[in-house]
Amino acid sequence: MLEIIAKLMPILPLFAFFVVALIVFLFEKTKYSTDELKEFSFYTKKPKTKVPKEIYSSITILAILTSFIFTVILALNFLNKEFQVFNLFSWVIFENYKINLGFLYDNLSIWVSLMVTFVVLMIQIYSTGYMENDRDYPRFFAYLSLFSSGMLITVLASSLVTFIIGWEIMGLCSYLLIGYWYHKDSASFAAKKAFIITRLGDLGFLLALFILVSNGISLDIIELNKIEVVKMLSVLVPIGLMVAAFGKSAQVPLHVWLPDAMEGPTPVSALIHAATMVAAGVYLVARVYPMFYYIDIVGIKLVYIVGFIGAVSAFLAATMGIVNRDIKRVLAYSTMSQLGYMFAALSAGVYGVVAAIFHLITHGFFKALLFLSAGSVITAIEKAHHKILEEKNHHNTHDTHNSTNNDNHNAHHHMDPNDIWIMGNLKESMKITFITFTIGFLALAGLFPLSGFFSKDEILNVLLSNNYILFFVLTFITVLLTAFYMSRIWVISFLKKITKNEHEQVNEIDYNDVQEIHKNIKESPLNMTIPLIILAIFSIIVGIINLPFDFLFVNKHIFSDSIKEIFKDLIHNKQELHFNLMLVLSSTLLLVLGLVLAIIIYLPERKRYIPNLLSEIYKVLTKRYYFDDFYHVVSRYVIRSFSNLVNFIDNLVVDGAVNKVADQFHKGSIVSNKVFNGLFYNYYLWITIGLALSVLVILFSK
Amino acid sequence: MTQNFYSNAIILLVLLYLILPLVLYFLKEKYVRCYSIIIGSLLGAFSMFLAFSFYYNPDINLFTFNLNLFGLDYKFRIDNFNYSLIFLNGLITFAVPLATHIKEKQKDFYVLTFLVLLGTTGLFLTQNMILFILFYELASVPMYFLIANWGSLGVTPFRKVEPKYAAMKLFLYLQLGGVLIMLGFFILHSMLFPTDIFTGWNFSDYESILKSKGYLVDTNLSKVLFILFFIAFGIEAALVPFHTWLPDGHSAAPSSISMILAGILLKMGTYGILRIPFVFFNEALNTLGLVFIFWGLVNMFWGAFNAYRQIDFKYLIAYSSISHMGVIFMGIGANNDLGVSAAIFQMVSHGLISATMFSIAGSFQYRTDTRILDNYGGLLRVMPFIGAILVFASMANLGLPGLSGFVAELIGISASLKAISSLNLKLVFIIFALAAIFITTVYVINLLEKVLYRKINPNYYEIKDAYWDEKLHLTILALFILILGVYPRLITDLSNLTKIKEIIGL
Repeated sequence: MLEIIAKLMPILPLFAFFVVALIVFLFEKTKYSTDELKEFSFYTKKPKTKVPKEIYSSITILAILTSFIFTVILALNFLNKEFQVFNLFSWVIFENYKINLGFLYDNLSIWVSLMVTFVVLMIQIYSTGYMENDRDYPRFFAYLSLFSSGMLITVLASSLVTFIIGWEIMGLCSYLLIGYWYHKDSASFAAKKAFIITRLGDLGFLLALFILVSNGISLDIIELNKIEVVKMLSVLVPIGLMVAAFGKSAQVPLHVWLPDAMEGPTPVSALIHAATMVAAGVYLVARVYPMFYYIDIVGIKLVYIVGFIGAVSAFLAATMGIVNRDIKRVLAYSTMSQLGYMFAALSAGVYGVVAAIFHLITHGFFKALLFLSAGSVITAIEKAHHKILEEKNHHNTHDTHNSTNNDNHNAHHHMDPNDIWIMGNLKESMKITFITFTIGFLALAGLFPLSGFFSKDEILNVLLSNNYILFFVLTFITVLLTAFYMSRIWVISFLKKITKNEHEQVNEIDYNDVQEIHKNIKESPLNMTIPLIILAIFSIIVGIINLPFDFLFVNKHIFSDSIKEIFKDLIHNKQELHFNLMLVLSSTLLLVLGLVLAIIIYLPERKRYIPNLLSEIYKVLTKRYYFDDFYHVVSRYVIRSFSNLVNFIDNLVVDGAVNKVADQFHKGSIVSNKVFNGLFYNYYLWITIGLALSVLVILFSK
Repeated sequence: MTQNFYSNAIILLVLLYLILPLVLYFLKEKYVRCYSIIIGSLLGAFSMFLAFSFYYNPDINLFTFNLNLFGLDYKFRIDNFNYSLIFLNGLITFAVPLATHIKEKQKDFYVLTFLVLLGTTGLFLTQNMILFILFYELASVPMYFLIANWGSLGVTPFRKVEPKYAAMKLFLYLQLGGVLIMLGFFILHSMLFPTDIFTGWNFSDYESILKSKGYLVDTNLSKVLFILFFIAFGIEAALVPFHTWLPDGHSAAPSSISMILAGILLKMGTYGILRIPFVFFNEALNTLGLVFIFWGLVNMFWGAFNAYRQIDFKYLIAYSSISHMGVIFMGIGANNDLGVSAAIFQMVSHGLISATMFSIAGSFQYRTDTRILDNYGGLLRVMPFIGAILVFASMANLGLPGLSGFVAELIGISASLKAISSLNLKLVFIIFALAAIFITTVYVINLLEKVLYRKINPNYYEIKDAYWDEKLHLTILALFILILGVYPRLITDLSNLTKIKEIIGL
């Protein structure tokens, strides 16, 4: 029974995807009138589906709910026991080589899949509210379900092939969901960019697979974690996997896709680009950690490289987050920064892995919470906006002024609902969202006793106690930066009353329009706020799985002990990680400093938008350290010119030569054409001659 | 003569391919397509049935048909080499009439199409050199008429290509290949059966010599003959630099014919390499293997970078085909367990994927009258079904794990790495292979963006999504792409080096 549950759990959402796809295929007929296509928008008052749209979301929610229940059952049975491998079947079998598809249930995968199924469930429930006015409601839920399956397959993979199947399903869904509103140029560009850049990283994964398969090394994760197998691996295997992890987890220099990925609907940003998929890179390194720990390149352990990139990404992302005014992009930079923390932690042996995975789990909760709260704000603004537009339209049709109606519509197109500078003072109109966002923000900043505090402290602690000073300093400063940029968006969007003067400095749209929108903003419906509240509660309490001290009935380090169990071979000294009070106090001090600074700078009315002194730095930051331009130049000039050259050779040199030869033949054949006028004859003549020749050859050789 | 149900079924299949289309000439014009769809489904189902029967009961003695005619011994057989190709052939036979949008001179069109399919079926089944050449010509000659009469203009960044030109080019190239194959056969026959013109035309004659002597001809000659056959068949399989007929031909051809071209006709070449020089002169690969691996790499790389700059939908798919054929050459060159499986698997996988892509290109061309990518845009809005299948096929094309394109890529490149012994060469190989894989991603994603995403062109507000016939065959093709990707053992279990050696008797 358990075996069936274990095999079924990750695939259930996949079935849900196929069921939804089948129902859409059989019953739905999307046909748009010319008018609809002319001014296309996915927003409709009432989405028209033949089958009630709730059926679609119910199917996918039911699937993920069942998966969640199954995961809990499996966790109760398998957690802190010997690992279990459930092979589905062998993917390919050769004479003495076999690749298996299957699922591995051990402490690491179970902890992460608990978080994943729960967060996915919450986000899907939330989406029923967020996407209620969307035309392609079924498509959205189908994609989400496919994605969930991909994530679960990745987390529970027993072999690298299973892993990459899930990994690429996620990549595909990420592509499809970023480009969900594909009529927008920005969305289709962002989707393309995300897919191509992550795929650039995935080349590393492929490289690792090619090397492993060509050397006949088993792809089973259990095998790959054995020290005797690790010792004979090529250095390119962990390097390749590392690059893939950086691509997926948006680390420098493969991070450029993540901020743009915010073009997707907000639940997608919450799920894929914050809580789950981007964390899969961290998970990958943790999953095959021994090879990173033991293999070194030119004397540098690979884990240091992982940690270095992580720490640098954490810092750079935090700086870029300071200057952005798109609420989702700031959250995206913060995701990148937090993932950097996890990678930095991974440099520090088994305790580092524990800290990283702990942070992965808490981050999953509070970052999903933050994104969903932001989504609640965004959709409230959009709804208010559409309401005003409708009223105006209604008004206009009475006066039969169709042209002004269109003009109005266009004028409002420029409004970006993600912009923090059109929000302002939302704490009044959206109380629940304000509270949940605040909880998420404080958890992210790492305030005691929210979950983020414990996990972040563990990372800092593990870096400090291993004497990784560089990584420690970078991540420690990032605490201040994180507190600052998060407070900034929190202050501006929820607390600050933006005056007309300030508004006109930074915005192009009319102040009165924005005021009108603000009057119409309402708190989101229950199916959105309830998941928010649940996630907020979890963001507060989920730290208890790994408290550094006994608390009530909870023993300390439950989580830590069960993860350490997996990597017990790697623990050389019995040294325990001690609670460091000085560190806790100083990081809390930094946090408060960042918060206060942000309040001082942003809460009062401001005269100038940017201080002049900082404008040079500001420019570099808004240009995102020129990474995007670099990729642009490479793709535009290097790859394109090379491909032009190749194409030129193909068309004019190879083909040119062929055509030259053909021309010569043509000239020669003008004479023979008179004799054989027609291809068939010509051709059969050659056959006859050939046959005759061969007969002659045979006869003579007799 | 062993006679049983399956052996009769094999000859029946060939005869049905020959006879059923002839009925077309007695039908009214309006029933022609309907009848073609019916016989296409029938023949397709029959072929697939035979392929699956072989999969469940892989005993070649059951699946052999012998015929003595005019003193010559003709043999047809389903074995580990060709059962998957028979399956592919059946699937394409089923799909082609459904994907055809031709309205004028339908009778001629379908008769010629089925003639090509007769040629490919026969070529895969036959174990006899003379029939092999006959079927080869049967498959390639009608192509000229199909492209020249029903083709359309193709556009590259450098020039425009008239269907007549493309048809002639394809015809001449294929004939050059045919002549070289014939030459090879005659040389081989005159070397080993110098006295007897009536025996020594079956593959098995050579295999038995191979079994007893261990080799057919001496080492140097075997190298020469291997290269001769490799180039001869390579022309058919778009081996760079003999590939330029392929993009022109594929793009000029009507889409259902492009499906046959990319789906099966290219595989005649690679199947030929695997069936003839690979078996007969295998020892030549000990020294030449590396050359073919890198030749395959050149194909992969060259095709990918060319595809990146194409502006015509079908040119893009055609260059992508060239790129994917590289894996087959590589796998053959690698000459190990993984390599052979990769080669055979890639034949089927690429056949399915490129046929799907070409069919979709045809659907777009039928609706919009253009194939220039920049003219499209936003078509996902009005054609959600075809759009979804295009995304699916594109993902398979770029090798998304879980779909069939990934399997061959993984085991093919691994096999080549295994076969290369020098570390530096390994490094060079892997760098270029990864670059090709990456560029494949880029052009595929560019294609999707240009065709499906962004704002919809006002000219295309009214166009319709897939009709039932398109839905039917695209769904089935996509289904098999998925099945093969998830369970590649449908092919790799039977078509691997060990099994192949067994049936040749080595």
